[in-house]
Amino acid sequence: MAKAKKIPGLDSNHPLDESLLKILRTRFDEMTAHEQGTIDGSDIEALHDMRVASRRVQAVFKMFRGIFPKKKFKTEYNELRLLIRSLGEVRDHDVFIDKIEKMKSETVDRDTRAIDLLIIRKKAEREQKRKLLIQHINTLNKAGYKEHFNSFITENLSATGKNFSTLE
Amino acid sequence: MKRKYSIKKKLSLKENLKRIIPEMFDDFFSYAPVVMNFPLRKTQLHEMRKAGKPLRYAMELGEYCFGADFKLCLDEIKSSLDLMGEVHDADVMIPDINLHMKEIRHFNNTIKDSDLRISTRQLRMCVQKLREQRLGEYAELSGKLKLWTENDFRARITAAMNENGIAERN
Repeated sequence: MAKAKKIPGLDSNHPLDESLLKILRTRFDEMTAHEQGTIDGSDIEALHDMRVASRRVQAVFKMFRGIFPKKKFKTEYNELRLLIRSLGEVRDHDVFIDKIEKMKSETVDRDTRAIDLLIIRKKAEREQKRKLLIQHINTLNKAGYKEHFNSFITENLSATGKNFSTLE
Repeated sequence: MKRKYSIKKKLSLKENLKRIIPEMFDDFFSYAPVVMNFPLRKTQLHEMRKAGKPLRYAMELGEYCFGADFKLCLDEIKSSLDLMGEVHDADVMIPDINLHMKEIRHFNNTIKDSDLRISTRQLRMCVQKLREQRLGEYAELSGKLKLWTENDFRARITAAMNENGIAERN
């Protein structure tokens, strides 16, 4: 699993909202940093890293949901949850294909047609899921998801949030 | 998203993690008795893994707050989740390969010339290998969970959160 990026300036003794702002910004930036690689699809690790980073954001949301206004939180959380689901569907296929290809390479059998057919089927399914994922990401981007997320956390976490320098 | 943890807005991240992490551990470990004693209860194992992921992420934040023993506890959690992941992968793959094998056999039944039939031997070998791996991984996981129960791993996590000193992060 991808190692979490270090959170700059995080002091665990500072007020909770200040810490959460730093954590969520770092993790969200980490998540979006892998977006292009996920869309390209050339390296399955980019998608995996995006998924893990997004689950780290989700975990913080889950733990500290009591700090956010209920209705707005639900909208924000659901957006994230659906994105994670789309990422997960592609990732499941990536794992399957990767493992089955490794097993195929270890076999001594000449007739590999049965396993080849399975790989072809899984790759076709993966491609369908990937298309849906890309559509999903594009829809989120068109709707200004990143900006929305950032303003959501800034508005709701700390009065000093607006003065907190972004990591980009 | 049903669970609501007892956070206190006025306390720091560190103090909140001290409250939340034991609660998350309890959620996670509530599946342990079934998982340890019933090797084929796939759903419970998967649910335990799902409950373990947020615990892991919360404990990663705890690395900024607590000492070296806490880091060791996190490593334990990580390794148990890795094992659960491997077991889960096998649980997903085996039925899928079996279904594919069934389809190939149906296809083979329509072919008169036996030379043209597709061999399913490789698929059978894959299933066998996955089953063997699962068995080994499950045994390791189960042993780990039993050890946690015997040694009160929860108390160790709680104690690690009350120690002084922060683990060095690289």
